[in-house]
Amino acid sequence: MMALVSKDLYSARSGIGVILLFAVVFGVLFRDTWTGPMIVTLLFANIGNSTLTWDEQCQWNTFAVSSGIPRRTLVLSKFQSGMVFVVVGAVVGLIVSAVFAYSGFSDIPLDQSIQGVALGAIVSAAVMGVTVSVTYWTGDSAKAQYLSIGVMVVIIIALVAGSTILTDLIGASSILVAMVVLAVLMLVVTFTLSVRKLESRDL
Amino acid sequence: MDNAVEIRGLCKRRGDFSMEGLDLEIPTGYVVGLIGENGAGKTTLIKCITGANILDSGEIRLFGSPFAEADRSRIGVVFDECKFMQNYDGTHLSKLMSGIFDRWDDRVFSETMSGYGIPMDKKIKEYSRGMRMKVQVAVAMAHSPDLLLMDEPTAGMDPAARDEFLDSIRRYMEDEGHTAVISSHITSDLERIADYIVFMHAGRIALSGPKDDILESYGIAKGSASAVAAIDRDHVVSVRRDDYSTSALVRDRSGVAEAYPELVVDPASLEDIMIMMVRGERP
Repeated sequence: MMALVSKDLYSARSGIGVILLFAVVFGVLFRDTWTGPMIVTLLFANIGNSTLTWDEQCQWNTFAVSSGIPRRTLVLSKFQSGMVFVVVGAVVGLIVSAVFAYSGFSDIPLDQSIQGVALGAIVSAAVMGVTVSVTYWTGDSAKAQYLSIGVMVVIIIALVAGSTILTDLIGASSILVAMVVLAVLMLVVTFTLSVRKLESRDL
Repeated sequence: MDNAVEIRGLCKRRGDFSMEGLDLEIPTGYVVGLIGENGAGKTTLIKCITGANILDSGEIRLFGSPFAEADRSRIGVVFDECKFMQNYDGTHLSKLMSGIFDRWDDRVFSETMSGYGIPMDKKIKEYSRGMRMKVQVAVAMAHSPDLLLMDEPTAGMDPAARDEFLDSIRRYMEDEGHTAVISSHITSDLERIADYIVFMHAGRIALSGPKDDILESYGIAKGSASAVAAIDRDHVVSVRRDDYSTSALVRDRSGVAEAYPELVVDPASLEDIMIMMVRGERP
């Protein structure tokens, strides 16, 4: 299992420089809103989805299954590496926020930035689950990533639109808890669907 | 005799292709050559044995155990396309594989790579097609598999590299517990190394048996259309006519040569047999 996660981390290293550049650019552009740190987190977390494309390009899963790796383990490793990228994204988001806050480059208080990072991580985790699941169902990672971008945009719009109303109704911390629960639920559902599909598909 | 692989009633359908009720036994300690035209089902069969393809019905036993309980890490695979990460070099590939295979031997991998003249520090995407195939062979050998399944392993290799590859298979087969299944269009390679031949055609096994028996018994009978038509149908597998002559693939070559002295009966190579079975007409 660790070998599969390490494979994804190693494969992703070439994309990190470009994503870091984008992260800094978006961080600067949105430095005065809580969405800046969230976008930085989302961008980094998305590297995990790219590993699906690389697997697909070289048909890695065919080799892995032929080498005796259970299909369920393949899916689990993909979710694990996806979560590693989400955590890395959150850490980078926090670092960027802290640098901006302490250097006076941003007017947003650090606690708001942290909320943005947390939201970014939650959304990223849910989107990662959807991307992995759609990739295994369609066998087409490009299609899955387009769909995931759509899912991500819908979630963010719903968040922005609904946050004010929900904050007044149930409070900000409750929203965060509700979102974590929703994200975990989405991860469980997408993991189950991914395993079910991969276990019944020719590679 | 133990069987490395036993297949009973394998059915697999995909689009226009179908494999219906295929039975096959692959004995331990032998090299089995899988031949057949494109789309005959060789890759599908190999992928069913590795578990990459899901069976519609039927049963596969590996090393005497039901498929689900068998230790599939004892299988080494070489596909017709390299399925490793293109941005990996030999060193990182070895590191990755050591985490996947319990029996991974880094020294064997390095030595095989070096024997093939492949630098460990070069990325897979920079390798030629032939080199990528060799990397797959090196990976397959380095985890000490009991069964090697190879789908067109010599594709893209030059004659010297193919010879080197066949040598490595011979060395691998020195262990009596090892078994190899090699699918190849280069039938001359299989004539050199295979003990058994399985000829697949349109999703079924059209011919199988010990290679020496096949090469000894099958022949190509050539002569006039009427002379070929006169051969006892029990001996004729297929007939092919062109503008100048008629030829037939026959069983019991020496018997046919004796019974029909007006015909020229030559030994049939595996390639002759394959062409006649695919392109010839049933008598």
